[in-house]
Amino acid sequence: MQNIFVKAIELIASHDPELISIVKITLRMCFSSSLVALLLGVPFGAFLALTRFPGRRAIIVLNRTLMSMPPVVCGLICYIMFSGVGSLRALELLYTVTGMVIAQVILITPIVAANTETFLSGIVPELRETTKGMGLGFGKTLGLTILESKYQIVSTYLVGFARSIAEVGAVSMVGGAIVYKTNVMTTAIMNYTSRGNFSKAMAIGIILMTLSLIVNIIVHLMSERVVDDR
Amino acid sequence: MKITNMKKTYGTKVALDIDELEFEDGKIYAIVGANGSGKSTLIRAMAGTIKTDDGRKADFGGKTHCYMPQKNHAFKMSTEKNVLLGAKGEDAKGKASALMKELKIDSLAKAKAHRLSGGETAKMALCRTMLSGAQVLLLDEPTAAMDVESTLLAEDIIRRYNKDNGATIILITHSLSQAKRLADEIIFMKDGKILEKGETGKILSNPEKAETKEFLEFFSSEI
Repeated sequence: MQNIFVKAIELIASHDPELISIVKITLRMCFSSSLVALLLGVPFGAFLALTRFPGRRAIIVLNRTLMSMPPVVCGLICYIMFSGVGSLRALELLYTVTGMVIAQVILITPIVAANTETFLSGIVPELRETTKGMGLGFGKTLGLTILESKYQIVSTYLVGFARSIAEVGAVSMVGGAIVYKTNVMTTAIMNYTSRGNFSKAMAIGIILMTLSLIVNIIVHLMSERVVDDR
Repeated sequence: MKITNMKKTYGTKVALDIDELEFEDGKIYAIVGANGSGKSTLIRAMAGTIKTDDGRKADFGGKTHCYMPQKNHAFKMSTEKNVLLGAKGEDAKGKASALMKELKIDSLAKAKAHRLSGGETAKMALCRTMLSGAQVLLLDEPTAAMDVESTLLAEDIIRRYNKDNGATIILITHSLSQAKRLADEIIFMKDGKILEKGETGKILSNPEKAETKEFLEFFSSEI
């Protein structure tokens, strides 16, 4: 075990091109999927928190159900849609980073939307009563709501990023873990382990855990700011 | 300024059921009644923050209005910036400083408003409302969280706003002595309906309805 760990550190220090490619593809995918999920999930969550319409509760329940969708199910659906028999086959998304990003967006957006909805539902009634009472318009109310939620938005983004970087089921099915093309850290760990290349798998594991640690420290600090700001 | 056929129900509970209610310009009205009598529902329906059953709104006769809710939101910015939100008229900053000084929160001008105490938040919200320049003010228990001294200072400010602007002020209070000090007229509410409305002195000394009499007798030590 100690030997594997030493070799893993040596691999990281040697700037192995395959390792660098895996990290680059992973970061590209994670930044893209978490950003798109944020851009879709925050307005959707805000819409659910700020409006009242028939079927709203059903949508909230459905969204919460989607939060717990197993990644392999998401991967399977995307695989079918992108493959030769799927309705989106013309887009040629199978075994591409874009296809992996789409699968992850489907997984992360419900989490972002639910976080946003829960947070805003807590502050909006009092906030809206105050702004409406003061005769402030929709634009100003929206601006103030965003200002009140700024740390929550950053924190939600990082939660999405953390989910994305640790996900393996959907990306392996949609991406296929093609070396130098769609192989990301989680799929690479699986492949190297099955081939018995434990030091390389461990090297990627160390990088993954370090990135995860950094993101989680930021999430923790942001959460403290959110609590502190209340 | 008047309200006609304003009704609000929550499920089967009728929270508000008013046939007609008129307000004269430039007067101060105190809405009094037990918990759940419909005071806040009335003022919120007038302010338009809740929708009445048929969507009917209060007729302010073209006058501008500002509503100060019971729970005031303190935005995550300085107390001064909170006070200046929605401020209208000239020298808003100077007026804000003067009001904050009067209510003794001037030292908190640069402090984060969401960290203020309940009483301080109420003072900040009152300053904010006073800078609205509105011709009608709807105040839901504006001094409930304030101490005695601050309450009297706040009442001075409310009275002055009424005189200087010729504004109509409708406020909810649980204090009959406050109603006596401030209001030209008192509106008694029960079960979402107007029980009695009239000139303050007359209502407090000689109410028409037995239920109003009973309510006043209960609080007689306070008046």
